Amino acid sequence: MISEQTLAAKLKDRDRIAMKSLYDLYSGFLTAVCSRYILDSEDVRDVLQESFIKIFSGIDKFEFRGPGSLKAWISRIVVNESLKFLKKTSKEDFILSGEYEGPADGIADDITDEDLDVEEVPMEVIQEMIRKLPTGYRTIFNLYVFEDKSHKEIAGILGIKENSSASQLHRAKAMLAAQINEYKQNKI
Amino acid sequence: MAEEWKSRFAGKMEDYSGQAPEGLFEDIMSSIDAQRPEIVVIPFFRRFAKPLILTGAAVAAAAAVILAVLLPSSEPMPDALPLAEVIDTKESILPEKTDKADKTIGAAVKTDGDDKTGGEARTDGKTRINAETDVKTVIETDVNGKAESKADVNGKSDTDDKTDGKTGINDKDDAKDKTENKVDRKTDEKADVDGKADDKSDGKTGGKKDGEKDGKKGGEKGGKKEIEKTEEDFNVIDNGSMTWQDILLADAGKSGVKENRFALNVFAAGIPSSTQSVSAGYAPMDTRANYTPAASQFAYMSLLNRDKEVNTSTRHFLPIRAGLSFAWYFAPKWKVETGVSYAYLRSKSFSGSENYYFDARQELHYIGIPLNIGYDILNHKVVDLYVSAGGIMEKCVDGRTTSDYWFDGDKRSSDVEKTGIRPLQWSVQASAGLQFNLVRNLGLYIEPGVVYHFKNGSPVESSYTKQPFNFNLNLGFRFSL
Repeated sequence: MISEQTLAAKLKDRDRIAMKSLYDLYSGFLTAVCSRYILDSEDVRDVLQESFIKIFSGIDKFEFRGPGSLKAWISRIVVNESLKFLKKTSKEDFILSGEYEGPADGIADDITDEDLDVEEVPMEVIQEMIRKLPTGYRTIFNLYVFEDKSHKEIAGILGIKENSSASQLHRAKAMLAAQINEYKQNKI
Repeated sequence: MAEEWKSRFAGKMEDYSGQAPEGLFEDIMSSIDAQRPEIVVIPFFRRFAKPLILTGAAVAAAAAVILAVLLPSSEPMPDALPLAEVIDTKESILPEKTDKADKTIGAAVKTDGDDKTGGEARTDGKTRINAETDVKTVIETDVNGKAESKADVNGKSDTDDKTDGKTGINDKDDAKDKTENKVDRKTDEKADVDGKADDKSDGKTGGKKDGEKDGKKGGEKGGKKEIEKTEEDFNVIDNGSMTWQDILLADAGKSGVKENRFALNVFAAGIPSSTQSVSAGYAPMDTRANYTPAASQFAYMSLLNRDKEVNTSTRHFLPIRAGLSFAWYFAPKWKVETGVSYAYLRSKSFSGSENYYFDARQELHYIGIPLNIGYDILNHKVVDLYVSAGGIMEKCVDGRTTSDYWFDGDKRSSDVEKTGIRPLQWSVQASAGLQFNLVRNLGLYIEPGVVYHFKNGSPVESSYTKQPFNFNLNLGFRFSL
């Protein structure tokens, strides 16, 4: 398999075969990333298209910083495009900013790592569980978990308060824990 | 570890991959392509590397015109020999004429070469306009009765020392080379021609000069702009001391006159020749500024070719023509001919890079009405010799362009587009005809000539636009009534 570094270099040369390679390598992954933010498949398609155009045309801005950096860079573009799309299409602020202050229901305070143990849960099931979260929770959850953003960063990105991000993440975790629990129950 | 769930979650989903939407890549490529309009704009800065390839057949046709004019009257002609053999036969019968004939052929080729160059070696609208002006000037001079076209031939043959072939056909290749070589020296030669034109005309061609002159007048009728001028000239003659009819009758007294008043012609024409040009970038035959091929594969292809050398090679074949015409002798030796003709114009182009290209085939169908005036130089029981000039008005009645898209040797798709040309196509022509009278009322004729197609403003390129000045070779049967 072609290395990321070589691939990036060829992309900078506007090599059409490299474009196809990049697409073949990562389009599935990027589709998964994008559909964690956006539910409608047509919208996902539009956002992906826009993202790839940004990737191919902005490849000159990419700097190789070791294995995985290209994948990280392109997924960041997809995430940014997804967020842009959400902001643009949501009629109201899709983040329930400051609305939720306290712990989520009864279970919220004591969600343990076991509650979120996804070892036995297939990936596509997890994907669907995430997609079932309300948009605001889902967005924050994705940014926190998959993009490794701090609450401060998330607050900056989404224009919300830091504690609002934390509490909504908490809420998302609680909802996921419930789903995971339910899945395990049904499985047994 | 408070955040262990997070890394487990992220780790678990790290390689999760969904199903990318169908056809997304193609859409991305098209959309990238659309953002880079320069890829499609290139055709308008096209440069023609090889402006013209004039094939030998066309030159042979010109040679045949000259030979036909020089033919003596008494030799019986074999009935249905192909052109080449006819010319050979004549050459062997007339050894003493060979030198002159050869020189004349050279001259004719030269003349044509010049005209060709004027008409073809150009890349932009400006030059095109100049070329047209040149041609018009020549025609107008003819109308004024100076018999310059004949004089040109003689004048040139005197100065031309390069002809070395033995017959018209053998000359083909040399002549072709010359025609191409002439491009650079065009200006000098033109000056020669102008200088020699007047004093070289001699009595020998006197009779023909009249024919040419008047024939040309008929030709002018084909071109809209020229009509007024022509009418003026007719009036001038009518008001002169010697009337139009007087001139005709004077000529008629010199040799045998056909008894028949009408003739019906069935003809076909087609010279297996073409012009080829190569240009950088994509150069569709439809040159509209906003035109790009409709096929969705085009955008994809141009993206794949983005960093490759892209060229377009276009070949326009000379029209294949067939038709029926009817001639009426309105005065002794003078006839007017009209009818209906069909023409088929075919062009081919290859556009793209070595691996990704499309080949387009353009086909145009024209229906036309010719109007010619002819003058019989010679009426013999075996052979008739005549000259004719006139015009044709044509309308493109149907056209289509079929494009096949090739990706690395695979034909991905085929696309058919309608190609329409709204404006009428006007052309003028002049020709010399040789008719072999097979039986009493039936003759086989061969009519080599030259034709000029006026610009009609259509953005669609064809043989008419790319090679407006051209040779023509009509073959047909004539029923005299």
